[in-house]
Amino acid sequence: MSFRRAQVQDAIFVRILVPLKLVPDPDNANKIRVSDDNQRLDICSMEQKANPFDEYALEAALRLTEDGRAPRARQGEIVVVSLGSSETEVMLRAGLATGADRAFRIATSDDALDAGRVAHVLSRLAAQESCDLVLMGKQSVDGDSNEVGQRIAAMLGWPQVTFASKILAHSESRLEVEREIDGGIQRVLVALPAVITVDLRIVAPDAVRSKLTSEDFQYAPGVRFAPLPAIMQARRKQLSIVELDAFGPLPKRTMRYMRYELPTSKAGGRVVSTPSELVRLLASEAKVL
Amino acid sequence: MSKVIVFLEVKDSEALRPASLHAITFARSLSQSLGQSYSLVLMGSDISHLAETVRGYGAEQVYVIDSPVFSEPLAENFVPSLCRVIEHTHASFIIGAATAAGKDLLPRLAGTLASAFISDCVGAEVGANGILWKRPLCAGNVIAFCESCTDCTVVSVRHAEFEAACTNGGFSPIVLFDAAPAEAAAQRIQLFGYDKLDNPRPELTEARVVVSGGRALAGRFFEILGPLADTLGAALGATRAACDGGFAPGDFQVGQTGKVVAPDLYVAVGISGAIQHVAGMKGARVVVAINSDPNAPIVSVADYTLVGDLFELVPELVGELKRHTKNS
Repeated sequence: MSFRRAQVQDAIFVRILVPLKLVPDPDNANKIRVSDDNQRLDICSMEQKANPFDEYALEAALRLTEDGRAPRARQGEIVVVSLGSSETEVMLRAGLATGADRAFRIATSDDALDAGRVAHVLSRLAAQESCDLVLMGKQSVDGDSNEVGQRIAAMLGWPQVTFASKILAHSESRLEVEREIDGGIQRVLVALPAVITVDLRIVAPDAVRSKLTSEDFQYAPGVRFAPLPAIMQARRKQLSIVELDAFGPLPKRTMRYMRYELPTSKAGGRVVSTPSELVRLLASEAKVL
Repeated sequence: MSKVIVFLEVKDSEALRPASLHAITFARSLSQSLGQSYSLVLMGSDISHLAETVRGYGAEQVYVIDSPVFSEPLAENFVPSLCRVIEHTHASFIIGAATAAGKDLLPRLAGTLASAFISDCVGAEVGANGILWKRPLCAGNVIAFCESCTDCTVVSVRHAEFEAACTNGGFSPIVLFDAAPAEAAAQRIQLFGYDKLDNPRPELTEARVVVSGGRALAGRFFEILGPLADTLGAALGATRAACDGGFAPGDFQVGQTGKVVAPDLYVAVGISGAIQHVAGMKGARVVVAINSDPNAPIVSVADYTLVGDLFELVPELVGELKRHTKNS
């Protein structure tokens, strides 16, 4: 296999695109309601947060472009992007504060989008910005469809590595990635440019290591928080607002949501006092033994 | 020719992944509603011997593509050949199970075809105005009905929602098909290793009984839950916290972002019942919670709850179950 990549052949420079999506607070997902005509989700009262998987992707991008012991000097560039209203800018600024270099907001409303269109815009942006890697969450926790990363890879003709739980840089353009698949862990070598979508355990202390980070270095688990001076500095970083049609005509819609319902919940159960009573009920009442 | 085709997943070149049989059930019912036939697509390297095993499912045709192109199970190797089958059959619906491999491959196929992708589908309503595809959103807290706007629709099926297909006689003809070359992108990705999880118990998404544990079990996860699972013939599952803590392998994770299970019996041991976990198990017919906190959210989704110290209750329960088995 060849690992050639003109832009990064001799350079120490990798440019990573990290898409961020604003979602209703996943810990309150059971408070989502549906409008009386079943046409809309009522999420107005809910707090909007960055999709957790996208935050993990940003953390992974930061780890890939630094020496874990000296995380201030960034070896590479991280571009964050979101499609949405001005509400997404708070999330983008937070991304800049944790260490991303530039941000784009693609001005649109969610109603104009579907996964195919999001993938179209993101793949065009990745090409326009000469990105070497699109690093993103494996799914958004509202749509739950686990689709956009694979579509971007297909559109760009790039290899894809989904459900990444570990990323180790062999060089600037070659990554070893572990994937959580059914029945075990698969390890792949991928040459950039590529799309990687991350799974939960990508923010474990030893999950991502750049070439600069020593093998024994351990990160604090989870994603990093921005220190106050960085939050101030982030205000001066570039946040470009781009119109949705700046990337050429939108492709035809692939799908449309027609109706929403709340799932039926079952009646509450009961507390049993002893294991022997439980076994009796499982056998005689529930008939599962 | 069939409008509906089912992608069959092969596990380690040895056997059909059982999830694919559940996808067949979905495809059967869809094709019946449409008044159409369906066909199966079996792809892999050295898999011809499996073709005979799938001839009895009533498919109009079984397409077999046996090629070294598929020796590395990567989406970049499979997409071009699947496109070739779709072109040949003029299929409108491409169905596969929402396994790890299905979730990797099927959206890439949809991206290549510029088609709709219905992820984690749990049903289809065929009406005069077309098909409404049913799928959960927001960790299963919303059920959405959507329509496809493209000629082709790629569907991943939440297999736990459907029974495994039984053979219904018949003897589908086998059509040998040539593989298309892999995508150019395949040149830049290479399989490097596979650490197969050594798990002697049934597969999570297949098991009739699942025993799951939370972080509270800590280093005693297998010691406490192993005997209970073995007594019940159950698969082992875990919460995200237990997996993140290293007490259980990641493959065990049940939830919105892990595996979705719908067994007859689900025993949740030391599990508080976070929204993300409940999303993966609320399809279970009977839920038992064993928890020290009578107010934990899991109690509201459980049919039966035992309150107390799980380190005492679980061994006691194992003893009771063994006594029950001996007496009945």
